[in-house]
Formats: sequence, structure tokens, C-alpha cells
Amino acid sequence: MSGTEEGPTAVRKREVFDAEAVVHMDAVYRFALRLAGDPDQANDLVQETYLRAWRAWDQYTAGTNAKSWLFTICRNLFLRQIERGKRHRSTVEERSPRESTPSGGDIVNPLWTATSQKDPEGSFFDSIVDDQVIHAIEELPEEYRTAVVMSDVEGLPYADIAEATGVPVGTVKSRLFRGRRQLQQVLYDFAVEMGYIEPATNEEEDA
Amino acid sequence: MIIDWVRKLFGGQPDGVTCEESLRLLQEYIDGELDHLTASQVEEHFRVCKACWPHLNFEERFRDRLRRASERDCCPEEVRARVLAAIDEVED
Ligand SMILES: [Zn+2]
Repeated sequence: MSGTEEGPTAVRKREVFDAEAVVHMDAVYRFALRLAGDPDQANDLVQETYLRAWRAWDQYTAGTNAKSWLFTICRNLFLRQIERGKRHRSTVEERSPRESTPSGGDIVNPLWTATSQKDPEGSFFDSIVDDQVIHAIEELPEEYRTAVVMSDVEGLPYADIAEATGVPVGTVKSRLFRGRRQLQQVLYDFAVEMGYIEPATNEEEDA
Repeated sequence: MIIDWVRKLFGGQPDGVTCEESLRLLQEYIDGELDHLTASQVEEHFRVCKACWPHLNFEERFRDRLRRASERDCCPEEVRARVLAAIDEVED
């Protein structure tokens, strides 16, 4: 029960926690759900994340990004669960920093080149239902998925993603670049399969 | 803005950035990771360049689709209540 410490300091601490951490519960839940792919596991992750955050609240630096701090806790819990479960974790091959940003012929999105004749605006993305989009995100390797969700869905800056995942900013950029391209390809393949978009001809692919 | 305008008048590159540079900076531009000056130059390039603009549009549409698909997921009320109750029970 509460009430062991009801002084002004404890009340104030809880107020700050509510204002800075509890407000992000939807985002933490979404993140947990994308990591775990299972609502029950996501619920447990959210609860455990917030309990840990509350216990460690004194270590949180006020004014820094509480959302990415919560994501860090959540992801560490998730990775530990996976290791404990001895489930195979998908890992991606990290490239050297030199290759970590698009360069040369890689600048132009090959998928865009392939679809530009028939669908230059990428309208096919809109033809795909939410469930399929979510499924495609959840199929990404964990490193890519985490980066894409943190950036594209939650809008975190590279520096926060780097800190949350313990990798250099260059690696974050690389993961985002590769994760997005992979996701776009999966969504495109699905759109073709469903007949939402005509497959690109070889001629266009070679262009 | 004024600084950008002055640089446009007196700077070496009237258009700020080339097509190749704009496409190379596309990801960082979309992610809001460019400094203000570079971002405004890239923005201007995409605004006026018919060849590059579709690339920006394609990537923005993609990101928008991911966001919209994710928005439907909110923390269930019973989970929220359970979490807040559990925090109440933790002794400081
Ligand atoms: Zn251009």
C-alpha cells in the first residue's frame, strides 16, 4: 500500500514521474508490442518497464528524453527475456562505418526506380492494410525494427536511438537505411501479390 | 532565413545543393538531422527539382504509412491502471 512516505517530496516525485514518464505509456506500449509481437508479453513489458523506471527515477536526468530512456529499459528487458528463453535472435550483419551511409549507386532507392513508371508517388503503400504493415514491421530483424520504430513511428533523434541501443550514430543511420529499404521491399512485394500494383518490368528494374 | 538569402546572393552555389547531394541527404533531411542551413537548402532543392521531388514524396508516404498503422495501438486501460497501482505499491 502507498502511504509509507506521503511527504511533499514523495508527492512531488510522483507528480514529476507522471508528467515525464507516465505520459509516454502509449508509446512504450506500442514499442513493446512491436518488439514482442504479442499483446500479453507487451503488457508485462510495459508494467516491468514502469516499475523499473520508478525505482530508478533518481538516476534519470531531468530534461533529457524520458521516452528514449523508457525505451532503453523496455528493450533491455525484452532482450533479456529472449536470451532467457534461448530463442534464436535474428541479428543483422553490421557494415563498416564507411559503408554505413548510402553512397554511389545506392543513393537512388532501387525500389523507387522500379516502381517510378507505374507508381511514382508510392501510392501502393496506402493500398496495404494496417495489419499487413504491422506484420511487415514485426518481421524485420530486431536491430532494424527497433531503429525504424524509434525513428519513423516515435520520432526520436539519431543520438537518442544510438544511446538507447548502445551503438554509434553511424550504425543507427545504417540500420534505418537498410531497415526502411527492406520494409519497403516487403510492402511492395505484398502489394504486387495482392494485385494493388503491377510488377515492375525487368527493363525498369535495370534502369 | 536572411542569412540563407544573403548566402544565396553571395555564395558560390546559387542552388545550394545538387541533385546528388539532395538524394544523399534525403534520409537525414526527413529525419530532421540536418543543420538549419543545409536543411533549408535541401528543402528548396526538393521544392523546385522535378527529378528529386518524387523521391522525397515516396519516402514521406512510406513513413506516413508506418505512423498511421501504428497509431491504432494504445496502451489498454486495464494495463495502465495495473501499472499505476503497482507503482503506488512500491515503497520509496
Ligand atoms: Zn534534383
